[in-house]
Amino acid sequence: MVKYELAKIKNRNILMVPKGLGDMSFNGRVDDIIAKMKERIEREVPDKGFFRNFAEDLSLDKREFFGKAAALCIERDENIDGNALLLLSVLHPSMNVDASVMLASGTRKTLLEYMNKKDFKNEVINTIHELSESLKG
Amino acid sequence: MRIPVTVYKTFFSKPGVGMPVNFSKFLAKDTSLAFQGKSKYAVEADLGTTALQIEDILKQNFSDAKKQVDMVFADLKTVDYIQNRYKSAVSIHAKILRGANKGRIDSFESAKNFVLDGIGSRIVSKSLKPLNGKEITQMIDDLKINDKFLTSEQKVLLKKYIYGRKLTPEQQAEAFPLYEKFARPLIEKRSQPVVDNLLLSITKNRMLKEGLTIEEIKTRNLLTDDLIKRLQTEKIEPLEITLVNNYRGFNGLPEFSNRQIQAIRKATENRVVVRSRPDLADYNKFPNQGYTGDEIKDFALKRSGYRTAQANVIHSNGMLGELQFRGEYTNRFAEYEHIAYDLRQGKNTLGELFDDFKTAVSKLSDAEYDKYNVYLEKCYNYYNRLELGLPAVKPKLPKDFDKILSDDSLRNLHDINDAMLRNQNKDFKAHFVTIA
Repeated sequence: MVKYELAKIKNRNILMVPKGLGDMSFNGRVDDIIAKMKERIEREVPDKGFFRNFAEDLSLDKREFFGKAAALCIERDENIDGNALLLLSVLHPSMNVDASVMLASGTRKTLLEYMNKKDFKNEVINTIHELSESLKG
Repeated sequence: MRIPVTVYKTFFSKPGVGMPVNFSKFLAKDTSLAFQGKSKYAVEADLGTTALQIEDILKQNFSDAKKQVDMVFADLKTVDYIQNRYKSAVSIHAKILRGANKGRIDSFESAKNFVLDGIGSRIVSKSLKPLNGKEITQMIDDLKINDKFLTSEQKVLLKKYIYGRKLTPEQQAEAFPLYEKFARPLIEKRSQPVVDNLLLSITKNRMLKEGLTIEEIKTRNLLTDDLIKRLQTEKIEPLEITLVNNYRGFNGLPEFSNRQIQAIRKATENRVVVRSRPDLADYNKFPNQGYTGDEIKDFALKRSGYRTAQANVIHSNGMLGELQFRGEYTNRFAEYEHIAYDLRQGKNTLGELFDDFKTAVSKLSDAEYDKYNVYLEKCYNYYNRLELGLPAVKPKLPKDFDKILSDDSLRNLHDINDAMLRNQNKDFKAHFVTIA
């Protein structure tokens, strides 16, 4: 049975997260958000027209990272219809600021091709480290 | 054998503004840094020497960097003026001292690189012509959000927000995203020429340093066709940017729109880090993190509503610098609004003139200080409205606050103080004083 911590999430703008997700290794969680993003890009980014921006995030272990969480985000390209920007963002522990970079931009097909590259996961992991460090300044 | 004696002096850059210096190292042009086993004073004095050495490098390279910024932005009709400066040794000292305390500085190079804003340039844009009622109504009628025109209820709500009519907090929360979309063409009208020139400089730099070709720019959609044409026909000054910070308050508009930030991201591809407030994005960037907008607001570093687009740059001569983009009224307000914050942080470099102001700030409870920040943010938003040509009502200081805390009073104090300092500095020459 899936357990939800209802008391904690009351009145907060978060999704219900099944207990146990936090037990997955960092590598596993990176695989998980990449897979989720690929699915959502396939499903939610149209050839043309409006779509809502979205993100998938994972919590970062404070023993290893300065940042609190990392997210892969898709933003509709406001300059080119049918295009999107794939961003990687890391949240400051105080949650008042995030640091992000663009990993790729283009159509749904371009983004998925980019994410299917062999070294994409390594790029994500290395960039999380870099962005997390950059938030210390 | 004679044991060499280290000579320490105090360096004064302005009347009453000094820092300790290891004068022996300064004379020997010794740039080494080692903190272990040294007293607090000796470390501060060594960093004082480093600060003077960094200032010297900045001085030597300032003119080229200034020229470069002027070449990129000064001829634009939308730019009112540009202010350039290099950081003084005393400011550098304060900054690298903070860096050393955080363990970020262990060599001259790391100290030099820690001063990201060694050369600072402020590009101040002109305000737009005030809009009349008819133009505002037309803009509301033409506004589309998610490809849909506004409903009549949304139009009424937005109009009330624009004209500063009384709204409930819920109505305000609903109206602000509409206002953001409404104001975007105005934000872009004011800042697009500056952003365009920035995009051209970034791309030119990549062409020179990375061998990026026009063909690649076209196929990867890095610039619009108009900008590619300009890139091919105009003389463009190259600039490298590494970080963009688009500061704004909780209810404030940014200097650059998200569309413009996206254009900067694309021109740089994955080479620039953008810092922003996640709670102000139009989607939930970290859906599994338990926070609400109010919690973020409580954490916010720039609680006064500070609004400026900032970019860390590397000039062609290798100097690190910071570009600040803002409007004329915002620029004026930003010069003095931080005084209360500085006092709350324990920084007290103000003269007797500010004694009553200091007392008033020190008497504020945390809750009152929060309320004061809300007032300051309203002032920022008021000045920004003037810059965008929108209706604006000057905010009033809450009734129970000492009048000395008001915008007008603070500006007045700042202006008098500025004039006094200018007068004092007129015949002042930076010098060392030997410590007895």
